[in-house]
Amino acid sequence: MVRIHKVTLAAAAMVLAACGEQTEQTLPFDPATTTTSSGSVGAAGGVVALASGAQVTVPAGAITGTSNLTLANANTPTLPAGTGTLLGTRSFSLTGTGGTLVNPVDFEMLVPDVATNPNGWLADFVVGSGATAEIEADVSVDLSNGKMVGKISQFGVITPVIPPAEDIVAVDVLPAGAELVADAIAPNDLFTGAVRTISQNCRRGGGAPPCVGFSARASGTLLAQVGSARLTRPAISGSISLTGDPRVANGALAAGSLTLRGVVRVRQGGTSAGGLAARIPIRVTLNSTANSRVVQNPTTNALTLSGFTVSASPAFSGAPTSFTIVPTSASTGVFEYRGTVSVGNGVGTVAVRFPFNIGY
Amino acid sequence: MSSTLRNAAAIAIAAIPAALGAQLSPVPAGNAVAGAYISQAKGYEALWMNPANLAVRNGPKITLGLGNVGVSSSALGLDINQLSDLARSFGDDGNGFDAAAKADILANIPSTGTNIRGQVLVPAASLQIGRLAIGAAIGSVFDYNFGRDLVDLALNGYDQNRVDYRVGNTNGRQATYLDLAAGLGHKIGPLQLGVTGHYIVPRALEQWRIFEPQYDLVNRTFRMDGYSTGTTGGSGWSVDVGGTLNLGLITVSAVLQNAAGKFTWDEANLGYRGFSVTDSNIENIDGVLQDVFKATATPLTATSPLGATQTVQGLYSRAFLPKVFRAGGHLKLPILGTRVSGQYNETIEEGFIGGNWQKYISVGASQKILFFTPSVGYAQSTEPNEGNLFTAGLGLGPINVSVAKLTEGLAAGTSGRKEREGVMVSFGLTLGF
Repeated sequence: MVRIHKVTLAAAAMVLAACGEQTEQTLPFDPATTTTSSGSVGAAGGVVALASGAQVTVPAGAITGTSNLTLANANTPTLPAGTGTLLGTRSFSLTGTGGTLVNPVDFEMLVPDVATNPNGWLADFVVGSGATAEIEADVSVDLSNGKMVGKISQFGVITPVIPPAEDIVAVDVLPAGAELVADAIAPNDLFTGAVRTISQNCRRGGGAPPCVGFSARASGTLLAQVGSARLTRPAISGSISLTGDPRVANGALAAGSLTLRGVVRVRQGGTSAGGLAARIPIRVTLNSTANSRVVQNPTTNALTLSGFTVSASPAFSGAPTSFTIVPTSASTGVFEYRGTVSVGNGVGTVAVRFPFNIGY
Repeated sequence: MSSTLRNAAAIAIAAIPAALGAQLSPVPAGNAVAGAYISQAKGYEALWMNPANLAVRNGPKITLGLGNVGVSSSALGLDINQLSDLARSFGDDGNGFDAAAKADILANIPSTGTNIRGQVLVPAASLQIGRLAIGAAIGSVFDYNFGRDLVDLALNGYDQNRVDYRVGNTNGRQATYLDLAAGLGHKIGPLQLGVTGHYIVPRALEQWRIFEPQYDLVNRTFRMDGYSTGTTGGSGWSVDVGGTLNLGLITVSAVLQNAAGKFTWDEANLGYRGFSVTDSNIENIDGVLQDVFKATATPLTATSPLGATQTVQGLYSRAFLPKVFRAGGHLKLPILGTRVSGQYNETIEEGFIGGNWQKYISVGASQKILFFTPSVGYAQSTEPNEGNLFTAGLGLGPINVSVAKLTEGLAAGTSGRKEREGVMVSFGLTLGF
């Protein structure tokens, strides 16, 4: 009888023991419930991080004086039209008291949606809300770890967005591993498809003075060894205006400039989910001086443009570097600047085209 | 440039200890028969395999186990020869491979990268006196993932014409602990019951991760961050219970290892180390990594760098010994000196500090020939991946050695290549009185 009890007890002990599960140990903090983090940062720089998914790294010299920086979870703000579509459902606020932000700071944010959204690799930050919202497009996307890393030049609520469809322009790239030799490459369209037309208004008629309206587009072959590329946030700024009638001998222009800006995003690994999306901010400026001319033959309507210069970043260099002016009608044409661009280990030919129209 | 980067990748891979599992038995005689040993373990072996056998009839009076060492390691996409060649090649900057061999290795590594797992189990000293046994063991387990490009770097060095290196899924986790065990057997008629209590001293738990590099394509700069997070110390315990029934020539056993237990890592020591490799310090990457290893960990809190708080997620997940049920038996033919065994093994509660086979069946046979006892074994896993284990061992008086070859992903292999291959080696010395 005693033996039976021993056996029974032993068996029961085994069964009872088998039923219990070990307790999972948890971290001493829960990122999901960590909502704010502050730190004092001076001219030497510093880091303020929030486990819920944000970090600001202040380089030395980015802040004058000493600022108490605070990162906090924030409600997603209302963004102005044309800013883009929200990526994910959260934002972070970055505020500072004391000190002055004089240079951009590095901002990291966990955005798991970048890995699942087809356009996640094109994401930007928007800082602020409403009419004062600013787009911060100098952003890299870490697709493997669901993280965006970019430059922020002001305090405010920071929200990840995908640029509007009209602000995403396809860019042709060569297959991975292709060897690029600038002169041997045909100038394929860098920006293909339906390019968003960005143009200045050119007032016509009604006794208004003659004017020149420019829009911008570009063509060329830029990078090798990337899976895909896009130009995002293209925009044109500045003005060039006529001071003389182009139908007479001296169609003089005032000194001015037009600048095309955008960010070329490159993504490694084709359509794979992993990898890194890097960015190349691009800027091309068309400059006119008092010696610039836009002259139209009053009989044949042929256009002649001269005296313009172009500056670009990344710098255009090497041969061929040239202007081409192609009138396409009595009052329109294409002003093209072509050069060789070396970015990273890719070298290619880029042509930036400024279609123009003449109005009287 | 090329040698430093290659060496960095080499350090990361070659410095791996060894290790994993429920497949790795604590004693070499168990490994020799693919683990089908819970009904045969005797003397101090019973402390680690099945404490019920401490009460077995005509068991040894006193046994002393010294220097037992078991090591297992396996890799995804690499076969055994390539794994060892790769480790050797790190010392000479990857020159140990010709171009075809390098291409073959890279062709077989999945796009998601390779994974290397391993376990070291060292029951350094065990003593059994009658129905009581005590022992001390050191355990270590690791599980590392390396992006495919890191293997490419190790083999081919840094290609300055590429700007698309990806770290990919490069991270790892490892744990080390000390196990102080005491076991007791009790005999009730033909049935023996036993229990082993383990006092666990957690030594270190670490989780690390390397993040994708950030390229500035215009200024031709890059930066790659990495973090190691972890803790040291803690406390823990677990209990094994077992039973053995002698039925003449046949003996059957069942054991539930870690039937109950608790692992508590010390949160007060939770910390992190971080590093950044940039275009300005990549030439001294060896120094960067050495500085990381030497650095004192910074306490990890919710306001620590984002990379650290990202890396630490899941650190404690299942960071305990698994609950494993085993049932089996053996047939003993005394006149011939032959033993044939079979055993079913199932991980009931998954734990990181254990094997990666949830269910498997193992069989083994041993034959005594004068002073020699050669053994062979085979184990077949069905979950989570189809795999098998071929083992062989030799007992020579007090010395036992065993080797094994592990293969997984049989169905997923292409061109005859298996998804994962590995080896186990164990050694032990037994003194009996």
